[in-house]
Amino acid sequence: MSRKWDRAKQWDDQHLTGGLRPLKWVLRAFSSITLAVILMALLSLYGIMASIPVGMLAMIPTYAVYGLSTLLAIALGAALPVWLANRAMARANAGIAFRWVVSVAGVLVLTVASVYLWAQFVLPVLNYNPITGTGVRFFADFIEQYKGVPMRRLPGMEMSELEFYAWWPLNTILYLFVVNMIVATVRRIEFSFENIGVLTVHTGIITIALGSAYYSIAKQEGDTLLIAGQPGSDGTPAVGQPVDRFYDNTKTVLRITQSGPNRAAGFWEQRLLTSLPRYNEYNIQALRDDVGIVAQSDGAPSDRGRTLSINLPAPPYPPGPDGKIARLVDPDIQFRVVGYAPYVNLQEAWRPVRTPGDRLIATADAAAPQPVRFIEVVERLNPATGRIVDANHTGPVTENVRQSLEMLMASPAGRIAELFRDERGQANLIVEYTSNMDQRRWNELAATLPDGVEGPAQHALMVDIPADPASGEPGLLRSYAITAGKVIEVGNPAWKIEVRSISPTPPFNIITPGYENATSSVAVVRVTPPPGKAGGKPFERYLYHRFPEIAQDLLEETSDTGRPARRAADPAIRLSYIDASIIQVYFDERPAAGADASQPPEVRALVRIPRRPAQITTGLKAGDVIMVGPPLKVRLGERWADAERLGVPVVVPEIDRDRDNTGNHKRAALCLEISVPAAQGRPAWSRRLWLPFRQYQDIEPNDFTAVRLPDGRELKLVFGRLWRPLPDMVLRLKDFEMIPYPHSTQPRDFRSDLQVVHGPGVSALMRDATFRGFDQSLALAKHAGVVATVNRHTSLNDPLKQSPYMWEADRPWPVNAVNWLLSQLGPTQYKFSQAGWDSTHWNDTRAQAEAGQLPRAYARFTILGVGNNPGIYVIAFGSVLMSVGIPWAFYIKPWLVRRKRDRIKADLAAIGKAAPRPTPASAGVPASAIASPTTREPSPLAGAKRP
Amino acid sequence: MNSHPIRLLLACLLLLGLAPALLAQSAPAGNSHPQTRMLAETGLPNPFGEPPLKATLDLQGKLRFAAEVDLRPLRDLAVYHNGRVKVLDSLARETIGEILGRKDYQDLIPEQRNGETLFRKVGYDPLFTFLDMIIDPSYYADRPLVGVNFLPLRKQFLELEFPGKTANDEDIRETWKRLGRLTPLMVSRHIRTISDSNRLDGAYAKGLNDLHESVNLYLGAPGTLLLVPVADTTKPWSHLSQAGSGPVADAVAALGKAWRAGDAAGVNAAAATLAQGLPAIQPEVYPTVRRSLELAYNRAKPFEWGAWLYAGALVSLLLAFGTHRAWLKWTGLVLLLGGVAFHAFGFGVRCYVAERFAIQNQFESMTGVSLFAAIVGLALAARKRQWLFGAATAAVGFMVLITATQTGIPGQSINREAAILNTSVLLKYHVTTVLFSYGLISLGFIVSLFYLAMWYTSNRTPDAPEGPTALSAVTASALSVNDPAAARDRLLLDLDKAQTTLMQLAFWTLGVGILLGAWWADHSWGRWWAFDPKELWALLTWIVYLVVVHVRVAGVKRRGLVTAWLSALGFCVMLFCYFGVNLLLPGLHAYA
Repeated sequence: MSRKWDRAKQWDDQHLTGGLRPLKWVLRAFSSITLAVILMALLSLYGIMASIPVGMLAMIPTYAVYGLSTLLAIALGAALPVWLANRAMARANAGIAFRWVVSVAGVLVLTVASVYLWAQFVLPVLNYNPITGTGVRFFADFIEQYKGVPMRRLPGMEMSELEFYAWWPLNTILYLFVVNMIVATVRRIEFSFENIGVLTVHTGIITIALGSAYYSIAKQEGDTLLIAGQPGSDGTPAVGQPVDRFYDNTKTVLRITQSGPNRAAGFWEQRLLTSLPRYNEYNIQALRDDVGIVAQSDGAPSDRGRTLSINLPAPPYPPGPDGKIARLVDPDIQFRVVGYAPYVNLQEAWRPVRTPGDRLIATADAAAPQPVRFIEVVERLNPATGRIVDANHTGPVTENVRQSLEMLMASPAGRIAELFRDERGQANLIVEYTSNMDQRRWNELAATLPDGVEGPAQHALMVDIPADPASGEPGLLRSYAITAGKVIEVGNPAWKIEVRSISPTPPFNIITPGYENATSSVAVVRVTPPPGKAGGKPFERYLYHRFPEIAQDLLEETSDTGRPARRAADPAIRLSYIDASIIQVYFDERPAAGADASQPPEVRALVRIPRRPAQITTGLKAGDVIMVGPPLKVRLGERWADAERLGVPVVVPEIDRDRDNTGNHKRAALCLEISVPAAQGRPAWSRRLWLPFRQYQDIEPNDFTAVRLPDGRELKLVFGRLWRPLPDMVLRLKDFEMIPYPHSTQPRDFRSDLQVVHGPGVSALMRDATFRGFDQSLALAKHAGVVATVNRHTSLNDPLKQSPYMWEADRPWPVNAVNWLLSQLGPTQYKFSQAGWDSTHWNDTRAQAEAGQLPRAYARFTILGVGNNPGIYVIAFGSVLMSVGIPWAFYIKPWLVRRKRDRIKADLAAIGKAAPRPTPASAGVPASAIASPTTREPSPLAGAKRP
Repeated sequence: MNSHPIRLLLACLLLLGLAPALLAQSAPAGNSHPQTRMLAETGLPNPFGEPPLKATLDLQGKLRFAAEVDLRPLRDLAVYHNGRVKVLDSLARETIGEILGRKDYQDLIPEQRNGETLFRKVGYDPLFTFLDMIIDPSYYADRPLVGVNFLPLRKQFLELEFPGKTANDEDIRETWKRLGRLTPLMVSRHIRTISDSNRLDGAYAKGLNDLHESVNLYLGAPGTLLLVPVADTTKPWSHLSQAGSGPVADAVAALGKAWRAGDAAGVNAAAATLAQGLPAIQPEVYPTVRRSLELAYNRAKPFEWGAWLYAGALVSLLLAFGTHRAWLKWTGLVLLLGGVAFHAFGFGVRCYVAERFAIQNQFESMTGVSLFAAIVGLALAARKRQWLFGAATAAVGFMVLITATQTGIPGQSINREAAILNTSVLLKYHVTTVLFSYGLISLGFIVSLFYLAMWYTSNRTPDAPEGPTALSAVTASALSVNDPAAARDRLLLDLDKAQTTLMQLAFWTLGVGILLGAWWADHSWGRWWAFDPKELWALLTWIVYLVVVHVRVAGVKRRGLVTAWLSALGFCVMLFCYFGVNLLLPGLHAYA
């Protein structure tokens, strides 16, 4: 207890009396070290609650049992026998050395043996198996559910790590701690030379705290994506697009723009999504009324009935020069978030469009209807075994809808469903639904195929050579069983057809417009025409089983690109490839004969099972069923004349989630309700849709969701991160390089070369550039001296620091220095760290460069972390104080005190008095130890001989 | 004068009222360990020719052949693998370790004894198994090759493979279960069924993933043979199958042929030719000293030997303390110095081979932590001439090294470090300082354990009815003091001083280490403090020692005892920061 503290208490007792007595108590409390220890303990507990999942905390009792059982085993197996042995040896007056050896050996050996026996016999009983549920685990279900969920992730909290640490309970603890430290320092510690250490440490901690407070207020963090220009002839990209903003790391927004005659393109309104959840599902069935119940993956978390309602009012707009407020979005259009899913795949779902104005999603061909037919694939099961029935089954059968299909007959890709894929990814059942199939095609599909090697063919070629009226040659129509390598000669003069290959998928993706993403089995044939026919030269024809209409001829001549020249299939010979190798069901609808358009169309079906004749059923209507062998049947469902596609969330199970994408919305979607209140005879209108989160906007031209209101107003919507401006600064990517380790493709470093445009004229430059083009505007601005450009780079551990202050040679250096210092303390200096890169394109182009196809590898973009650093030097100063204060307090102060004591001793000795001896309490050790004259001597153990 | 404290309080509250919400940040690129690529995706053919579908040798033949072949010439051949040039011996050890989950492959040799068939385990050299797996893979298709650590998963495989319910079936399952390994054929037969049924359980999913990787490694091992050096650093080393024509290619073909024929002499001759030919292809880039050192490192197993030397030192010094035998003390000291020497050798060679300061993964940091602790402990013991501190040093060394080498701590193989760790000197200072403090904390913990043991196992009063305990008596004897109570108090005082010294140093170095990390984080990540779990738990560890400092200043009763308990608590918190955070809590310190 210091004398200063005594004086402080005396002062309190003298002055803080009567009504000021509560102040005395407060001062005493804040002067106490006990309070500091309690606050530090609370701080630690808060940290534990923040970082450890509640499920793990719930495991503490379980592990306590494990630990106690181990301790019990050691106590019974080692401690007790050793203790008993010791007692026995003491009674028998055994030698000390002997007792020691027995004790040490006993403890070591018996402890190891006890733990081994515990691990062999007790642990297997205690050990918990999550699958069987055997073993000991208290609150097992709770633990299973919350094993990866810290408190801050629970519904109702939904805070990121830093948000949780910025919450008021922790702030309160920290405030109290710092106040405690200040008060205790002032009232308890003498301001003396010896105490410089502890004073410095305390000052350092307080400085860090104050610096942190300022830092936290003004801190901004995020990242920006810089896109490279097109590579030139030497492979080096041109300077990329200018970027004058960055994406905030945590704040999310709904970005909206409304198209209209008076609104400039490219300007977006940002509505901050405050209190948006991060970790849990809310109202994931928000589109149930529109699209029905959405299927959920096995093991995926549900919303447990949680709902959400976050209104997004328009931000305040400053009035323009004319005093009017120019809004980007009409004020009567209202937005509200009604659902959120943190980690989803957005699956397509269809909703019927009853009237043209009922369509929400704006598409380029909004007028074209999108008819949809629903089909169910039903599997037939033996109730006794639960397995699919076979042909010999005679008993009862239960049915299970294995899959529900939405067939888009207007889309080649959407009209086909491939089901029951095997290990190689090959489908075992294909369903196709067409509208108005060509009768000739129907006939070919229904035809009895010629015999192949083993019974009816699995692959067939239909050859149709039209009659030639000019030469009088008659036409012919034949079918052939084919296999790869088969050569067919047909007609007179003969056409030679060689089957080059047969494959279940196209060798290249189909790029024919309208057929993108469609697939089909393909036969490639080489056709050698007779002289005078089809150009007279051999050609290859790609025959798509499902799309005979897009067959193309590849000629021997090459086009300007060096690739084989193509042409539409020559009509002199018509070839159709029929793939009958797997089970296929074809539906085809056509308008009912003689009926009006409101009547449902007639539907016919064709089932083709390998090596069996085709089965045809006609006159089908919704609800009718056709059998596909004993185990399966297909049920025709409802038909919608028009429908639109909406995205609905399918929640991803926890096990399949990437931890890096948790809590940061990267895989999230929100359900937005757009509404317009009733006005002027117009009824109220409201619709919902799910918007996926977009980490970056502007990479692709259509990085938004476009919607059209019934009155024709169009909106573009983006659920993304807040854009923040880079003050007086524009960045452009000049080049990017990934530097690998020697002999390797593993990255050792990344480097982005940048052009930085800075100066007070940057805002004007960016405005001007929208009309004039950036480079031209830049040249003018540089000429005017309002901006300057510098070339800089950033790489790992070597960020680019960009301060708004520009050193001006015509000013005295002290003025420059002071301004520079102020700019460093201010919040507008930014740091750009290498944070991401375009690994896919870099690796692709590297491979091409190695193959000699490109001069060098290049990346299409780089991602830079962006952050300012307000007050970091204050924090650094505090850190230095703390770091140098500790050794002073621990090592220099004791030395100073010792030196002082020795001097006093010497002085006292000189005048013939003995130095006062320390009291036991002052040393904190037993009096006997202090009283021993050998305390400060080296331990005699080292050099002692055995007595 | 009266208003000063109030003004101060108000001013502080005003300043602290400015504290706002903190903002978040995300982990930057290069922040994780480079993807471990045990299997190079070369798609290249087996350099020894297509292996036969049937095993070339039977069990006995393989055993005999393994004993006859001399693989020494091949052992230190350089191979480019997983981002660095290493010796073939290392590649073989790493591959076998990854597949089996143990250090070597063991065959089960059936033997008839008393009418019963018993199985004898015979271990093989990892390099032999590695080459044999490439040249004669069929042999291993139905052998217990693939280690499965996760017991429930192993049981599930065995229940599918041996579905019978008889006692004999139970025995078979039990035998395989204890073996800990499955055959590749077992895996391929049942993995799909098990995957389908357990996909949603994290432990099973990880187990199945590991299993996939092991089987891929077994099948893809030929692709790892990038043994042909290339001078151009932008190009990868060439595969053995791309050696072209010449003596190397001939030797490769001859080796494969002789191996499959069980011709040990032919193999030995081809291996010698290969060992001469490969370094000669690009002698200017072919490593020399590094290969020898790496091979010495593999053979010496310095950390394992170090652990056992420390164990011997611990026992000797403890016994010396009680028995007062000089020879035990000297034995303990020699063993301790030997342990430190092995430890330092392993650490030094690892730094040289890895071409970096080897503290950048869990295994390396453990060896570093314990080495720092050992050096400080040795210095402390020598300065105080109190060899009980030597025992504490040995205990730390043994405890850490045995954990690092025997419990599957990740990072035993020498690999490339995370890109972000490669480009900052500041970061190295941060990591080293923090690890140094962890070493001090560990040493302080052991000293505190001695304190606690002394406190609780020796009598408070020397006049207890059954007389002084062994420890009190031993202490009195050791200190040449007649009064056991005085001896006990003197030893407690010594131990308290030692634990305080260690904790003060740990407190300082940990504080400085954390601040250095903050400095680096500000420089590299753009935020000096992110409340990342590692940062937080380091801070909590520091707070424990901050409490120790203040508790001692506050003049608490029995402060030595309180300090010892807080030291134990600090050690536990440090352990969680060191291991628990890495295993349980994802964060920015993905590589730590």
